Amino acid sequence: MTRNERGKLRLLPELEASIAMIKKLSGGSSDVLINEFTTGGVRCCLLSCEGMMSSQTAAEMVLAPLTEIEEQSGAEELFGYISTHLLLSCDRPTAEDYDTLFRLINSGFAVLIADGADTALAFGVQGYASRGVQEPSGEGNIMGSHEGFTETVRTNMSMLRRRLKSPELVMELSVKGSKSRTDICLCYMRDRVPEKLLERIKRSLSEAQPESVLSTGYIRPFLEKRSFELFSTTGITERPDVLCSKLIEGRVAVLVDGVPYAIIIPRLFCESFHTLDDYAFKPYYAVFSRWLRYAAFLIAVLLPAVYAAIVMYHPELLNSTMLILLADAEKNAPLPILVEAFFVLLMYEVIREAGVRLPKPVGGSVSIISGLIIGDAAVKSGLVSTPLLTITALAVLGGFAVPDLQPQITVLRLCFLAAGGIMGLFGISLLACAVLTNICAAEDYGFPFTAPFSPFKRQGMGDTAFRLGMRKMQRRGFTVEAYNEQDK
Amino acid sequence: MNRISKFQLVSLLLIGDVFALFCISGSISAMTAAGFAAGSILQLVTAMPLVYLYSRGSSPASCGRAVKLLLLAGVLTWGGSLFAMLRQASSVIYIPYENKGIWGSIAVAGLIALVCVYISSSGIKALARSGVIAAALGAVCIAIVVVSAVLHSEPEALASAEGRSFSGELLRGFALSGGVGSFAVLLGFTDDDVSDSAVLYFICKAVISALVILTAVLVTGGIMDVSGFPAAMAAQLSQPFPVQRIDSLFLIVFSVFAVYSVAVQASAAEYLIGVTFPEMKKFRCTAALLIMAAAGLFPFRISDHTAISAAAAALILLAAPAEHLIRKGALKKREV
Amino acid sequence: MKFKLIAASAALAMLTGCAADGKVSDKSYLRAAAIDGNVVTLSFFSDEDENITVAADDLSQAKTAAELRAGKEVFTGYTELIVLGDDNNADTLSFILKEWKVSPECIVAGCSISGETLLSERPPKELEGAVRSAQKHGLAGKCDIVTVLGRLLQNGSAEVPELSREGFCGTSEIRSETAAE
Repeated sequence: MTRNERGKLRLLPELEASIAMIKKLSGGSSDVLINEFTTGGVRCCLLSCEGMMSSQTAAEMVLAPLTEIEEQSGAEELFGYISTHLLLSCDRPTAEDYDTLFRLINSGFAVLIADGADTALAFGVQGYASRGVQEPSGEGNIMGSHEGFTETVRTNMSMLRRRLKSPELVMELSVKGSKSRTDICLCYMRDRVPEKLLERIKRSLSEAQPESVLSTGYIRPFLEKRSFELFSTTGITERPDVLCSKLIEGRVAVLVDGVPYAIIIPRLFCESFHTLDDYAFKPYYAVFSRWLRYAAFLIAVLLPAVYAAIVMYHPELLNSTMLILLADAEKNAPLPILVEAFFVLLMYEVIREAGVRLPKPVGGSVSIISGLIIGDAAVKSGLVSTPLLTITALAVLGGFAVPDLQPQITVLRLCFLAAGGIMGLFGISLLACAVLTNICAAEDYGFPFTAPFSPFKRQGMGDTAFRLGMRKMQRRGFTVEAYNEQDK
Repeated sequence: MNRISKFQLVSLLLIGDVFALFCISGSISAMTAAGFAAGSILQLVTAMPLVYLYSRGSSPASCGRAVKLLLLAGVLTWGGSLFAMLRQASSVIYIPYENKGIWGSIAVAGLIALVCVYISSSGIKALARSGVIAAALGAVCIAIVVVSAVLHSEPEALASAEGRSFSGELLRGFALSGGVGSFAVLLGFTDDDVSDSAVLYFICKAVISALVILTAVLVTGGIMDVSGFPAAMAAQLSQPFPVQRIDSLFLIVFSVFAVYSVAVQASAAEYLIGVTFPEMKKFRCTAALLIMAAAGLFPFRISDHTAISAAAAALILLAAPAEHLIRKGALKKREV
Repeated sequence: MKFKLIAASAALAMLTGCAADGKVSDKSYLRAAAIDGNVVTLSFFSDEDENITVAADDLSQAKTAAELRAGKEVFTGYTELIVLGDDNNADTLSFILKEWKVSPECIVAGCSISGETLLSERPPKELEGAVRSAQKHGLAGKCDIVTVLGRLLQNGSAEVPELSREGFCGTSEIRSETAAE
């Protein structure tokens, strides 16, 4: 048994020995189908994985032509004949080692080995069950496409290709994960992507040696800096149209097989507030909705903290009418305002988590229970005051307007509440300075996370603070290279 | 060395200057505004040799040890005075727990120091980027206060406040306005033209100082005798909406500016300690902040010793060029 | 180690905050104050808090005495009306502005009867309304605390609206002994 330059076990030329090795390596797994037959005078074996191959396609496109081959002198001639005279499928990789052979079988290929050949031919006849193209679960919109990515990387690749028919769109497939052997696809526009960015991303990917890649979370940390950053400098999207717009700006995308999300590199903070609908509506409405999202983010993070700070330390900021209302409402509340606020926020988080994890048939009960118990009984019993509940509800709604930043909003909201409750507006200011610095410190691949606000880039303001008309936007020829600080 | 743009440099330095103005104590008048503006221009003139030196490729790291130590002393002293100003001004501005005796003050100073350690450890770029955003927000708040003051105050207040003579105010402006030590350090970090950056900074400083002081005089001119901290009091009294108080929101601007002012000094001190005492590289930021906080406990007030402070400021600005001249002269003698 | 220190400090600080019982309803919110020599009458926003009249050497002692009487903290930041009696008006107003941290829009008025009687017979809301109406009709000038204090310090006297049982009844001049000295 010999190994190739990558240390992988080479295919054995003797058919019996090869089949024995395959059985040994697969541990006798029942889903590995081994079909021995003779064609062209050569003993062969067709290998496939149960449920991964389309039986009908295989029977019509592969099995029938394969069994009708004329007499050949040996395995090499047989494979040469198949390669040159028979077009059994569009995707026809070869395998020279068992590692590649198993990867192909487990990817839905039908693999042909022959007695006397030290290579294998594979035929792309995949037919595994997969979810069809559906509307994305998040990233809803009104005026754009309703197609979202699926779990199959090749389907996702086709969705991109359908939208960007330019030959400059390059998709490089590779394999990641020593155990999972997951297909990942690096996508970029050759004429737009900064060379150094692409180089650095490829280097980061090659240095990443995870055991498995089962979601974007397995690979994103390898694409980001190691230091503690509140916000991710890589983005994800479920929408092919959004991804195409990012690729045109010169960014790089990573598609992962088995995950209906694409990773976008680099990502900026302001992009969390962008939606595709911004480009479908008139600029004035787009600007309004964008600023609404900025305000919603601040409300989501700061409102409970500011409320607690004002009530506890700076009541003079309330006008007298509101003061009387609050005093009446808070009179019967048994808990200090800070504890009450934490209680309500944590209750909301529990309800939200329950709503996500519960099976759909039971999910309706969550809204009834939360509405009745939290919204009605808690207030009537005086456990929680109505103003605080209103403030929390507003903060939570604000968070829904920016779903991309939901995890950060949740944690920051609690931290700011603690800061406001302990030190009032002073505490909120101190924490805000620290958070602002953390956001401004985030910079991967030379792209500052807070661009174009800081460092200020006037060109970028046209699609951040405002939204220029589509004609002006198309004319400016913007690429993400304009924000690069490292390679100037 | 990380580089920053001239706008980032100006923002960082102006935050410190404006914070010092917020904490200005004693009576002020329209003459003070003129004196501070002129003081800034005088600082610009004094800084020109330093600017020329930097434009020829020099930097704080290439200066002699004595100059580095002088700059370090200047930065640490000014950082200490910022802590002292914060402690004094908190009698006007309500900071929770600040007035709970010495431990309250230490706790508040400790919290600020903790945040400054984090900000400084994030690097000069993060400090500069976040400083610009903080400065922009502060500028908006100052603009609101200025507009409100202009709309609601009476112009007679400008004439009513009595101050010192122009020369006295000029000296005060030269001594009090900002940390020239951090200017001397951070100017070496700028990516853009050094002289452009310096001119922009001092012109902005002159304009903003005059604007803030005039606004303070406009609002508190009539009650200057009882205003311990006229600028802070002006911000609190200047209400754009009669039915809704917003003076506590000034606390936010005050706190943010306090943090960034100290962080800028800490970053400058951190850099100087790093180049002067390389063995202290690991703890330089913490050391700088501890020294500044300790310096803040001393009763020395710059406002009471304007002549000494003005002389020290001039020395800091002229030290590096003077050392360069001496070195150049010594080199020529050796060649001869 | 750094993160452990920060986490420990945050946890300790949290305990402080969670124990703090800063409720809105735990304080009495001062609406109007009448200062007649060493007699101070305080009137509050809430109908549940009755007027409190105390005798004290200075306003700081008066506030303490009022808190002892009321059984809770008196918050002075909402004060809308100050009714002044006789002397030391500049010092009184200066103290109120700096220590009580009242709104800059707080009205300063004089009184033709005792402050205690005035506040017991007329609610502060009506008195304040009377002053604002007078200002609207041009019968009274600016009388916010900052303006009045400024005039007292600069000129030694200031014109303020005068209040009585019938509401606004003209203007009167108040003097500052401090300025006169």
